[in-house]
Amino acid sequence: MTAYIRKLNLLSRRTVLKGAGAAMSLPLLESMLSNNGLAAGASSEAPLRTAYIFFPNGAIMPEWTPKTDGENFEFSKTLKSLEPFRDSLNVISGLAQDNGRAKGDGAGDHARSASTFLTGAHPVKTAGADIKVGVSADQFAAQQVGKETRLPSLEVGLEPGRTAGSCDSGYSCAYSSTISWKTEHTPVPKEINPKLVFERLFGREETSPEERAKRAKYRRSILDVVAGDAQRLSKSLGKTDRQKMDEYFTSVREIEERIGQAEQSAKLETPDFDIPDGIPRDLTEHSRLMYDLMLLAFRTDSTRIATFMLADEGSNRSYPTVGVNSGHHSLSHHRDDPKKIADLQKIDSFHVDQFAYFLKRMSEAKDGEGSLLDHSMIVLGSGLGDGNRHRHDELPIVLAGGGSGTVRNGRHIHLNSETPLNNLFLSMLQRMGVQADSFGDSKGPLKEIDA
Amino acid sequence: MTQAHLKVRCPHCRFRFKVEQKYAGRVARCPKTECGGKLRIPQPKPLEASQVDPAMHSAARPDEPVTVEGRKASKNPVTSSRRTVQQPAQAKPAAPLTTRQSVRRPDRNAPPRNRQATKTKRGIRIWQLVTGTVGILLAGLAILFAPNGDANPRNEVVAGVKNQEVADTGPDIFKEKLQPFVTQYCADCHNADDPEAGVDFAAFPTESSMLTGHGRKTWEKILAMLEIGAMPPADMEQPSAALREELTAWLEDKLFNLDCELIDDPGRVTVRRLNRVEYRNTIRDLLAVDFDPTNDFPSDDVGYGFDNIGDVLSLSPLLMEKYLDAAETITAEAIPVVTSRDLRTTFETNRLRSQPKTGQAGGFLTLSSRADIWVDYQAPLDGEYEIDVRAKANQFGNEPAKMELRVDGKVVRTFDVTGEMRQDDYIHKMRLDAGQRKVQVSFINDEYVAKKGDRNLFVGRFAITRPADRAKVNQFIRHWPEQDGGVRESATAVLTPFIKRAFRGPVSNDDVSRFVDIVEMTTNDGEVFEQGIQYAVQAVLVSPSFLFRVETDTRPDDPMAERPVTDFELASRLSYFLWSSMPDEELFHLAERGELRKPDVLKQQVVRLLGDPKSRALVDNFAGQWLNLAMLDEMTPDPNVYPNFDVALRDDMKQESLLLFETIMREDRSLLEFLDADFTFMNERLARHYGKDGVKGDQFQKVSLDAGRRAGILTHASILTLTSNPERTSPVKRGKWIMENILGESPPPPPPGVPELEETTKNNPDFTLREQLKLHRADPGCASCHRTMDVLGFGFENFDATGRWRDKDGNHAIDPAGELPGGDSFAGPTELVRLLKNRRVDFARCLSEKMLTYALGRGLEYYDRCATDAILKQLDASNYRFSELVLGIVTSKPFQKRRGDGERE
Repeated sequence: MTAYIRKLNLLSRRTVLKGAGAAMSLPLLESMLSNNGLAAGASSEAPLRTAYIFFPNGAIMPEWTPKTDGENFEFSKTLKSLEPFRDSLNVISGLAQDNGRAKGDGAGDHARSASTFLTGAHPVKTAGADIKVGVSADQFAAQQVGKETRLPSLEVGLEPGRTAGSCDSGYSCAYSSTISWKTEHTPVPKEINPKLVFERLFGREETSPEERAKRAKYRRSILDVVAGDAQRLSKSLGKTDRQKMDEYFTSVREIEERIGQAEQSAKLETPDFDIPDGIPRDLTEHSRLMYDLMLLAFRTDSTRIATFMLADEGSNRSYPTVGVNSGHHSLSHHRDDPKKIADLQKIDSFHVDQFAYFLKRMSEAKDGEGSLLDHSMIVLGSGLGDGNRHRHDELPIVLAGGGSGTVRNGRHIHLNSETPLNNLFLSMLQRMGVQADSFGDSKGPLKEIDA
Repeated sequence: MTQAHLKVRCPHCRFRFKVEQKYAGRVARCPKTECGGKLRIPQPKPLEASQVDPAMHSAARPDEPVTVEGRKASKNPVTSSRRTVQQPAQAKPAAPLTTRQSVRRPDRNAPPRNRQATKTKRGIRIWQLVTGTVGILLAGLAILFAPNGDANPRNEVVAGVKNQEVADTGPDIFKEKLQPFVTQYCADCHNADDPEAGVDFAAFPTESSMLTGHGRKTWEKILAMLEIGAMPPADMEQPSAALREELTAWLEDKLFNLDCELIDDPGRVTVRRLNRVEYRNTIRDLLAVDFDPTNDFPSDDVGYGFDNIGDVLSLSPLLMEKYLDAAETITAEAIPVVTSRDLRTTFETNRLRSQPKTGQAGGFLTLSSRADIWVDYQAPLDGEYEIDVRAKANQFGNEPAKMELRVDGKVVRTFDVTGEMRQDDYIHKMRLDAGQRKVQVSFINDEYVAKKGDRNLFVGRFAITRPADRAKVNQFIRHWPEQDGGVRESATAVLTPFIKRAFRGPVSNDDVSRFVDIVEMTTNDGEVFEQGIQYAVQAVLVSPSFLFRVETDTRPDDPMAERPVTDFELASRLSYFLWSSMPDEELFHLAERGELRKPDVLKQQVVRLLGDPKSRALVDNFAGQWLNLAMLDEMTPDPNVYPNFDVALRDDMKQESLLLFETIMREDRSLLEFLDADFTFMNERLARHYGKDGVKGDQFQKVSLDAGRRAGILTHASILTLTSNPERTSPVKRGKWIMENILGESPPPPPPGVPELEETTKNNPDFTLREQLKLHRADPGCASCHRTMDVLGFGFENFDATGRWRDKDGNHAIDPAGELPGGDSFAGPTELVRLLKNRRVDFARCLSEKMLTYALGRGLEYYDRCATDAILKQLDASNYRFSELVLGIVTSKPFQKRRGDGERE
């Protein structure tokens, strides 16, 4: 890698994980993990992790969906690179996010498909303050089981949210640039800078334990003072303003909790990880780096819940890496033009190939009695099926990971059409230990995945 | 004396009472104490327009607070000091305006003149009042507008208040026409059980339920659907055209013909978190530190087209963490903490240079004969330095080993290195000038007698301590505990003025003392004073009063509690509007003295702020977002078709458009020049793109446009590119962009069930785009919007997807001619631009609304139309000069006033 790579603090030289796309070496060593009281390997029972990986604009479904159902299915052209992980995944067809449909709200399928993807709720059509959809599956889990790790959840992405204009036919940009919703009104922004993801996970560089303790102490006093200010101010603020102060207050509290947890795990070492200073220009490198960081987060048990947006919904970025120079969204309205369909399929394959890379790394990472992949449930999918026609059913969905032995893998599960995607999420949430009988518009758990 | 009385029913509380007929047409408050809502006394029926003397209505002094005062007035009879002021009866007729009947809402796009005419007929004027009113008490009924010329109106006015049945004064369209219409054509799909698209007509049992709060927004959408014929759906029973027209006209009137005296609402701005740009600029102006958060902070939420909208700007834990980190970085630069350890540079022996080469052992260089050891030291500043050289020696002979210290070759000291191999630090203090200094020691008295003895010198590490550079610290800390009576006192002295500026307003001693506590805690821990100040400033920078622009109220949840913003609040409103940053000393100073709101001072300040280089922020942030220039970053014209498009060219395109805006702003030109400026700005690269000769270099320069081909912003490559698809132009997108950003008409999303463009393509693959779209417009649901949108877009077909001129699109010759709905036809882009310029009122309204949104940091509400109408009037009277737009906004009621949260009845 080149000059813009900067070495982060090397407290532990035992492990080397190169962030650069090409020369990936072994992940963190067991030894490092056993030093770390929080590490997964340390406890006898490995915790279950879950990740939701989202791509926009739907997929070329004829190239995605395997031709045969059940076991021993033939991997389709788009999913080909996942074949090595046949025994660790299911391809699931027939799922739908009904609430992504217009339901009288007119245009805006892109915004709806992203905001509905993990919530199963129907977003309020607005470009203003009254954004509202529903709590997303990842945040729902984070609220119940996220306390067990330093970070309740991690949200990453590859594209900055758009900052001008309403994003899609009168829908606020929030709807198409995030899939994680903490409350029905509060989107959780994603982080797209690998360095900042790393810092979020492991703190900033050059911090010795003493410095960290000192910072924690003073940060806490600072937060005390300003939280007091927020409360005092609230007395002379109106209802809407108070909501903003509550948001401020909640953020302050959350950071205080985080400081507390960081102090308890004072022994936590910063993994050795070469990381570029900015955002890599090369998309392959960028997305692999993000996958590496997710792996690192799971591996060190910094969090058990993650979301990853491979692009914002309606994204019009081009993919010169795979020879596609037109914008993704423009292409997605292909009007059956074979050239455009071929380009779109290349984009689909690109995302699946990077996902395969992640599965490979997850399967190689030893975790307790098995691999990290064994103790995970990872969804790859989109909120649109046929992007050309903005279909919200027949969604492209892959579920990977053994779910700690609770998921029966190796199949193309062809469900009845219109099966709510939230059925799958409900099943996953329950496996994560979340108390819930229903989630969003779920009609019951998706028994078809059960072992 | 007998008085004709009018029977009135309060629309708010339905209280019935009588009032003397001469007050017909005027605004009053409901006499029922619990209600007190404003209403207009209806005219007796029938009434000829001539009976109403326009001069009878007078506006109040514009600087008088409204609501609260009005209520007080009902307790205190009007005093003579509260005189009424007559406004010009009639707005100056606008210059000849061409009003194109646009797709929808013809009335809203009409120039003010027309609207006023309508109103005058009914004895109501909407123009006269912007901000004030006067209350008069009358038997419990407050007449808010005294007849002009009444020296003592209360002696002449009598109003009886009686509870009694009152017949309504006119047909109740809502009950008699609208409700039956809804039942017949709408309620099947939009009812309480199954409110399609969230519309439930049962929620609107009365006319006032339709006109208040959320109901109004819903009905605005309903009206739009009715007007464009999208509802009822084509396959359902349709109302007659006449009925549709009658009801849309009635709704139009109810929803958009506002009675500004009645409405008179400044609205409420939610606390606004500083966005990334504002944060950066504020830090720059507060602490002289340039901190760029672009890559660190999550991007700001956008609402109503801008990223400074209080309602939508959120603060996640992630962002809070970034604020903490940023505060650390910023304070480290602004208030460096200097300890002697930080000042000392140590050169271990491996960094020392020697001549001749000497061997090294155990952290020492061995000098067994005469030799020089040195280091090139970069002295950062003039001042007192300390040079410290570790050394030891083998002694022999009649004198101790001598070590000479030289700086830049000049001997400054000679040390005796005494003791047999006893390690000591030899220290010399001296003044050094900034720059590279050669610091050198030499062994000068080597002695060796074979088999007798040997005098050797061993030189260890050099350590050089530079003087503390308190100059920078001293910019911030001017009071030190040593001189100013202790930590608390000096910290208070340092922090009080800082916190005032950071919070952009007065602060109490209590406010400051919480931050002083942090300093005290730090110094109690044994840290230096600067460190404590650093932490305290960090706390200030993450405090809500800094991160948010807060305006506090005494009755924050009472929507009727209205007040002018304070001078300090006004200072911030001004500076964040025009500079995207905090107020400067002059604004603070004027606010402190209570002078800022004086009209002449305010005007002078607006001119000063606009003239300051910082107003480039208005160009980048307002104009950039208004024109959607950020969307260019996402455009990826197909490199096979448009090989010349790259990042540099893209940035040039943006720059061109921003420079046009900046020129109009700086030279205070007419807003209308946006549309038809005959000049633009290019550098060599952009000129090459446009095919224009004679422009050299990277610097932008003013260039005349080719008449007949280009004029104004709509022919800029930026706009033409960002409204195109990667491989071809999109007339629909171009047309839509013009409607939304120039004419202020947002075409509603296509009605459900409209066939996609690709359906028509499939059926007619050989059609040109124009023919395809023509087919599309055959559908009446599409036609109402597309007949304008498409015509506008096709007018610019001479420009390709990156804005270059072309005469052909593939094999098809370009046909840029068209005819707008209403009959105006044009032959090409510049003629179309001219037609658009004729719609100056629409354009000015669109721009005013956008700029008001940006200035206030909130979405506009229906009542803000009163403010924009007033601005438009002002603009029309001043040749649409840029500064008048800004002044109009700054003096508008929503900018000058605020009220408690909640929906007014």
